[in-house]
Amino acid sequence: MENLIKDYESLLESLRTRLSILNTSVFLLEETLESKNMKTNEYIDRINAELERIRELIINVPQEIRSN
Amino acid sequence: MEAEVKIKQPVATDKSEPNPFKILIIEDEPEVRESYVDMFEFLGFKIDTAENGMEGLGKLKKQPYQIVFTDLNMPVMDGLQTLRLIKKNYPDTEVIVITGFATIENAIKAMKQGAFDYITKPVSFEHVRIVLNRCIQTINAKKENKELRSLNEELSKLNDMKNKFITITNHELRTPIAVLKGYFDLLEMDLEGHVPESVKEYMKIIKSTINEMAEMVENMHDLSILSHYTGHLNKKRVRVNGLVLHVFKKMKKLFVLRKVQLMYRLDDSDPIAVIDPHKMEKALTELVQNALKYTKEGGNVLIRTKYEQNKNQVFISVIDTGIGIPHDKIHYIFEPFYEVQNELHHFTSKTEFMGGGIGVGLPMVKEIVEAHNGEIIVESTLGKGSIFTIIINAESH
Repeated sequence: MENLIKDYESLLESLRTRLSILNTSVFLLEETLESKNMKTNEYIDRINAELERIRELIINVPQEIRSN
Repeated sequence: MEAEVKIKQPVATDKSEPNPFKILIIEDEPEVRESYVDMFEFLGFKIDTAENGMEGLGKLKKQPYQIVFTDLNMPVMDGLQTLRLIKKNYPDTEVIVITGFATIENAIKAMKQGAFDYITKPVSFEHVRIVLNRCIQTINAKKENKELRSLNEELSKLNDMKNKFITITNHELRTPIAVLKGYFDLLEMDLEGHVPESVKEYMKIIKSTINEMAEMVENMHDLSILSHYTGHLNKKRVRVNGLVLHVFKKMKKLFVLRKVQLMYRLDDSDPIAVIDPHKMEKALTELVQNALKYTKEGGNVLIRTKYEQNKNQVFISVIDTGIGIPHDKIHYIFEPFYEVQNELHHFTSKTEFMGGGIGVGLPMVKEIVEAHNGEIIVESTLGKGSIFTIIINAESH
């Protein structure tokens, strides 16, 4: 059981690393863009919303599994 | 109470190891009690005594006893009442009742209420020894059963948990990653052409990271599906050389990008195997991708087919000039979540040397090959390269 939790945490760690790369890159992309039209803003907002959804899943899922 | 303890021929007992069983004797007659003590101590047991049921229950409350011998006719609390309370509060403790011939009906009642057995007075040493042995065997068997049950539960929990986490990770993450990818594609189209280099660079990082996450989740999906239906293979007659050529063509472009040479050498006999072409293609693609991942720029990867006539088997090998696998880690590479770079160093990129992945690719290959009753073998020299060979049966002639 311990090994499985370790494996699972290692998977989550990989996902977290990528998520944090994405968060940083999207933030920097947003900052670097000089002029943004409405559509660009909308797409970036949607991307940020999905990133937040993934972040919540990564945080909540292990708690769900551990409580079960 | 009247009782006569008749000691027959004493049976030799192995006293080299201390007996782990503790026995409590509940008997109101001091002399009879003492005679039981002598008898059980002679057999090598640790003994405690109580004058009546009430005192016996008090002792059980303080420490566990595996076996209780109790008389049935006693003042304060009789044997049947004592038995009921013991079985209610300490179900793992076995109770053996001692009764006279006159009260044998009570002994039967006692059995119905959970007593292990009954012994009639006058107590025979041989009878006690036989009942005790049987009781100990039962206790040991129950203990083993309990351990097995707990092991089974643990295994089932493990399996449930594995499936659960694969399912949750897979299903719940797939949607947001797909949506993320969609909006990113739209953003890319929206920004096309008129953006500074730095923006292009961020876009490139975002794109490759999203692809990595999608691939991770997709691999989890493959693994969870495989464990469910490896038995349901859609087998067909397949020309193995044709399958290899197909994978070669599919992968060639990636190798050009990474400046690694991809080659093939096919067996002239053009062997045929009855396999699931899609799954075998997936397994071979995974091996080729793996070879690419661990081979430096300028290296090369060869896919080779060989037909072994004597055994009527086809060998499909993927031979690389990559980093190799440490000798002591070679047994772990088919374990889920294991990656060679964990042992060396790690950075994340799908296209770079030693990049990406979470280590479910090779376990998937193993699952597929074994589902075909095949075998996968690995030979590797650290720093020089690795050979992964899939061995499957050729079509019987």
